[in-house]
Amino acid sequence: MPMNPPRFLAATVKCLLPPPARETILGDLHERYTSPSAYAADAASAIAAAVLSQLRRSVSFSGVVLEASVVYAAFVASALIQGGPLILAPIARVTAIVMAALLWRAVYGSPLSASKKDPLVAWWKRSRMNGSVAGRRLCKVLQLLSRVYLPIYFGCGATWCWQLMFRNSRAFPAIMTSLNGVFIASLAVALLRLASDRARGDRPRHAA
Amino acid sequence: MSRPDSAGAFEQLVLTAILVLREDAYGVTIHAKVEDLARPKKVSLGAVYVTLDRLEDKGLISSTLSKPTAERGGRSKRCYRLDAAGEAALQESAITAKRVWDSTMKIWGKDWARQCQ
Repeated sequence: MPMNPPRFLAATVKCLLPPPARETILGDLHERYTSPSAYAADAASAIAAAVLSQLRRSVSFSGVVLEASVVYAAFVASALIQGGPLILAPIARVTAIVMAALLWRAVYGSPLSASKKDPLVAWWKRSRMNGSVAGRRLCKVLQLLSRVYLPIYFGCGATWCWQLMFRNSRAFPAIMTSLNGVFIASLAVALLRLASDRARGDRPRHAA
Repeated sequence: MSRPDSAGAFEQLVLTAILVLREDAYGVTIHAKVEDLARPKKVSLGAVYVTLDRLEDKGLISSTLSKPTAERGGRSKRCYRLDAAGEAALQESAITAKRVWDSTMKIWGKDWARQCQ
């Protein structure tokens, strides 16, 4: 009788594998299954490899550095706009967590596509701007914005909760500063990605 | 710095495995063949996946998804095949390896060669 991996273990591995590699790697692990410990060892190595490959394919080192600079600058700008105290260390911490969230999105998120099921693409198809270059660009910026806004918001929220629980909450930029920062950073990252996609000839590289 | 179409030592093993396995080259069989070629070294499954992805990005191999099978829990295989650039890279590596073999044979002799078998 063929042995099957424990359901809980298989479900955990499925969650941890990036979507493009999920189907084939789960099949390979299932075929090689001999014991839960061997399955776990194989899965750990395969997950690490799949995440690394997906990161290498979807983001570049220079792109990540550029985006981190943009996010940092956006939070500094929002602190200046808000007129609050400019404390750079917490802003760097928020930037690090936001970048981790963006990288997570690049590995596990769905790729940017021109699918008609995408609500933004559907709206653009119906709108009067359909066919115009400006409309197409606006749609792409909104699409990119929708993909970066939540990870940036999540990164900020996570940092804020962490600060509230473990540190002096005043060390984190004021809540309005962070909300402004989320919007400015999202817009800046979306525009940066649009520019880099254009430079590559409109082939989307970012999965996030 | 290596040329984009050249293959490193581990990449040569993976390319050889794909060449030998022909139609049956997918994750599990490639890993088994690479482990056989690299013995006594142990090779992790992850190392094979990373290399397969890199070779695909270099344009040395291409892949297709097969139909799902019951022995794989209803999941499909990603089958790999060598592209023309991959065959050329492997041939280049094999010629270099042959030169290394001939040169070392001259120095260390046939007894050493017999031990390698």
